[in-house]
Amino acid sequence: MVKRIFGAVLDVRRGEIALTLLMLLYYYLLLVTYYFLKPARDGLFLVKLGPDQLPVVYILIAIAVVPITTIYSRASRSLKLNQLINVTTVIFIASLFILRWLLGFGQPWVFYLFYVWVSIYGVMATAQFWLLSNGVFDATQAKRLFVLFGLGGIIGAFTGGELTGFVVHTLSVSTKDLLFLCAAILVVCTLLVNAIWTIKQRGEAPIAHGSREKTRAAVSYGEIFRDLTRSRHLMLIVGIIGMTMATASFVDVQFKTIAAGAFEAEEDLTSFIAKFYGRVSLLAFLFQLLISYRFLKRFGVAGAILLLPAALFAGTIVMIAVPGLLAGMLLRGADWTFKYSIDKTGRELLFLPVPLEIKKRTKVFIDMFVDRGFRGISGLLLLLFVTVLHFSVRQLSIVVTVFLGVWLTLVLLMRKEYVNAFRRALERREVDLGDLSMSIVDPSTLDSLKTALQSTNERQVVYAVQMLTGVQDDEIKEALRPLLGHESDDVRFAVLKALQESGQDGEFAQEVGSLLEDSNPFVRREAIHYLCENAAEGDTRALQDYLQDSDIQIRSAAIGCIAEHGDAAQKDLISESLIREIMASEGPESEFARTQLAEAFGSLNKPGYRGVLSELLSDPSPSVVEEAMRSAGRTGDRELVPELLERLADKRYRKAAREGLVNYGDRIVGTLSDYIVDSSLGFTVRSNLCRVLSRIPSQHSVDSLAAILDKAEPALKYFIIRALNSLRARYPDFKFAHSALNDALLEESESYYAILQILRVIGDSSDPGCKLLDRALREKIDQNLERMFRILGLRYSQKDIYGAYLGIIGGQKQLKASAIEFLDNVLKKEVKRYLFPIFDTVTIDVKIRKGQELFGVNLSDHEASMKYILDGSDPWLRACAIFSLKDHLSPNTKEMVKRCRDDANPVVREIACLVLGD
Amino acid sequence: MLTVVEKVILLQNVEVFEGIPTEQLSYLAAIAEEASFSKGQEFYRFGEVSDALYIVLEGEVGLHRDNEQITVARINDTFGAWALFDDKPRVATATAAEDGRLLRIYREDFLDLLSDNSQITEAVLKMIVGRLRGLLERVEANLGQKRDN
Repeated sequence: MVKRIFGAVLDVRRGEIALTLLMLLYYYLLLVTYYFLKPARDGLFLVKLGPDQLPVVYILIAIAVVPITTIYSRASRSLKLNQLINVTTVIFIASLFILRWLLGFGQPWVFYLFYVWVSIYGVMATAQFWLLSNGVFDATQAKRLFVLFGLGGIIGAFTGGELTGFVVHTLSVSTKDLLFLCAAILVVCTLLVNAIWTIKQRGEAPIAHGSREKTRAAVSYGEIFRDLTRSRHLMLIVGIIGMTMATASFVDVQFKTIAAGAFEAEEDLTSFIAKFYGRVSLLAFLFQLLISYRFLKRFGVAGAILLLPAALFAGTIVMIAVPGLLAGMLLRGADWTFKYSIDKTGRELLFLPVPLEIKKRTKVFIDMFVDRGFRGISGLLLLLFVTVLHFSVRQLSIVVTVFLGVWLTLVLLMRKEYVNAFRRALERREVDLGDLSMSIVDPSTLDSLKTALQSTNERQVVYAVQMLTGVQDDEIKEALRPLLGHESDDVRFAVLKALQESGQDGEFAQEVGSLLEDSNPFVRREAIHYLCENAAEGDTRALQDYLQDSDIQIRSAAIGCIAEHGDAAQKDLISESLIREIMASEGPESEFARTQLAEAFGSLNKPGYRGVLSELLSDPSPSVVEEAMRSAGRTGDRELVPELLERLADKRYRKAAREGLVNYGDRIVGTLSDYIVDSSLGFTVRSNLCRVLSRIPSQHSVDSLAAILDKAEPALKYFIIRALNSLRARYPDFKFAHSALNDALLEESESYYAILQILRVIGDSSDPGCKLLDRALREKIDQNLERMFRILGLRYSQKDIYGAYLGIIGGQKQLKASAIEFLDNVLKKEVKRYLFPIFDTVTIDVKIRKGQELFGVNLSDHEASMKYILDGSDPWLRACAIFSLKDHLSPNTKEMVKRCRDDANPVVREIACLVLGD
Repeated sequence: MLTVVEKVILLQNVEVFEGIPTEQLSYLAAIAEEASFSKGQEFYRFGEVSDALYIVLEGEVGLHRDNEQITVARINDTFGAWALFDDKPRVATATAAEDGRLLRIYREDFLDLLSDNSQITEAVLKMIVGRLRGLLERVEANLGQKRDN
């Protein structure tokens, strides 16, 4: 167990140490400040206003949270994450000074304000920390490191609580002056945030907004409400959370009333509350660390959510029998200890069987509004019982008993519902594996999973095996054993993976050994990995033996194992003679060996082997070629880039070629952008290179794409802008060169106005060629418009600009008017000058006139229009224009068409010859 | 032989390609084969696996089922259109009623084109979704009418 605990807490890897320590220190200091402020808040409030005013502040907090969350959410959309945190922290520091100054006047309203402020500070400061953590660490790191941060937080809470007592009592610092201390710590926090941000930005990838989670589509409250009411399971969760919050509010008032009565002096009260919070936080942490896991294993989710109400029930009985400080401490202590440990885990687990989409929609709503809503309602009830009816602490216990009765009933109903919901979710494979940050230990869940292992549906078996990964349970191990002989490759593979993840100590060696002769090469590879990991002579030595095995199946699986899991020393085991031997071998097994070899090359870092990799790039087997392309990128060998470009033209290899080029990263961005505007390459290759650049997250990619915007033909320009849109959506911190975007916008506008003039000149005609040209031109102005909005999306919020685009192109007048109004407010004056006539509901003549004024392009006759198209960069428009001239050639237009006989585009050349009768 | 532009003029009138921009139709035109046929020639039989779409350029093609003529495809008419989207068996037999010429697009070539050109795929998907929406709206309207009655 000790290994389990410390393994989970201290799994910090090389390269993460600096960031982890800074984040840990940041969270620790935040919690220290909060546990300075919280006792100060309570001490001052209880002494100056008395506990009977607590219901009022509960209501005030519930009301204040709504506008503050809205403002914060809006600010988060327009500011970078570090800016957001810095601005908020500066506001915190400034308000601490202001509050300290106001507290000096001793006005009652200041104490309400201070109470509400500290409560909101607690929520926002910790929420910001987790926001930053999610930006700094990826999902895998999060699972390992967040436990450590949790520990840092608890120690911070404990230190804050103890220090408050020491500072107030021993150093005789007044409670109010704790605010100065907090302000000073927050200054240090700001420095830490900036250091964290700088380190992360220096790293290989910039912080992507929403990189862990895709942008959620806006969901109405009506939909959330429908989701909640349709699910008995969710309704029970809402009920349980509601009762938890309501009871906590009542218990808090009881505790504070008793504490305020027991300590008359402000400093004594502050010191007592501080120590109480700090020690109870420590207790909660120790309970979570040492007991929660065993408790959950023994009593399951139902036991986990039953413990808190049961303990509170016992505490309430004590309170009714012998009301006093001890009973108060017992009650509030039980509430705090269990609510933030086992009960919290239990409540999170209740969401496990909820389908991911519904969970995404409802969880935030439940956390924000059900939690706050019930606190607000409790505030109103407390106002009635405490302020109006003047209930004593003992009488309040009777109300608490009623709440506990409802709560316990809901828990009992949930017990059955949870198992049923979990079974249903398992059948539909709707349990989100990403949620399994802690191993499943709940007995009822384990039973359902064990049953699923016997299923005839192999996907369900694989799913259950994945869910059981990491579970330390003998029965589960035994249930997995026969699955090593399962007829499905996927099941055997999943079991081997699960065994490796679970850190088995070789007890399956015999069964796994027989898998060395498995028909599936990937199963053999994972079998070798398992056996090497558990080999008495050490994994490298065992791998060496497998590499020298007489059976090529074993040798190729060993190479695969090194490619997939090997470290630098193990990669060195792949000798030149082995490589030559594999390359010379034949048969189906050889193909797998070459694929694995190709994969291994990516991390071998042996420039001398370029020839072999090049050979693998021309291998007859597509899977070998694909793997070789991915590896070529990882080696960073630029000499291999042309080979990958060649493969980009072949649809069989296109995806892998793109991945290979992306693997090169920033170092080939300049080269790729040169290729994009190289018209000797096919359009498919060039448009795919735009996609490649959109996947290389660097400022260099953005700059290179922006720089070639004016060199590309319209069809390709569309792909370049799309690539820029994609980079902007994922990495909003990149700078998008305004001058290049302005030029592109101007060019699109000019083209738009010119096409309008040409359409007017062509007019209505029954000639098929003219009709085709008319349609092609209309399509082109639609594309112009789309590109304009895409470019605007690079300067302003993409989401808002997309909304405006839909409003402009849609048929609804109201939406169009709103879109124009929005753009009028957002766009700069010089941009509006040439864009607004396009969007505005003015006549075509007015638009044309405006275009002529702005760009000086006058296409009032047919010949001028044709010249404009034929001199332009759009080959399809050239082809259509020439075809429209088929029966209407004038001497001037004939000359123009003659020039197109040598056009770079074959369709244009073909049609020019047709029209000229060649 | 038709040029790419001339083929586009024909393809833009094919119902299943409605909404696909003309530039994208030019790529489709490039894979459309022109072929001659003689009277009595069978293009496909009832129950055969679908593999191509046909557009009549000249002549007439009769579509039969159980010895009964369902329809006749004349100049600029299309037959076997849904073969591009699935490989379900043909629902009729197509036989040339007279000599003529046609354009033929094979499903395999069409799928290759889709994988190469995301804009055509986008346009085709929009067309299919548009039709599906239209169908749903009609079904809803019918249901509403029945309820009202």
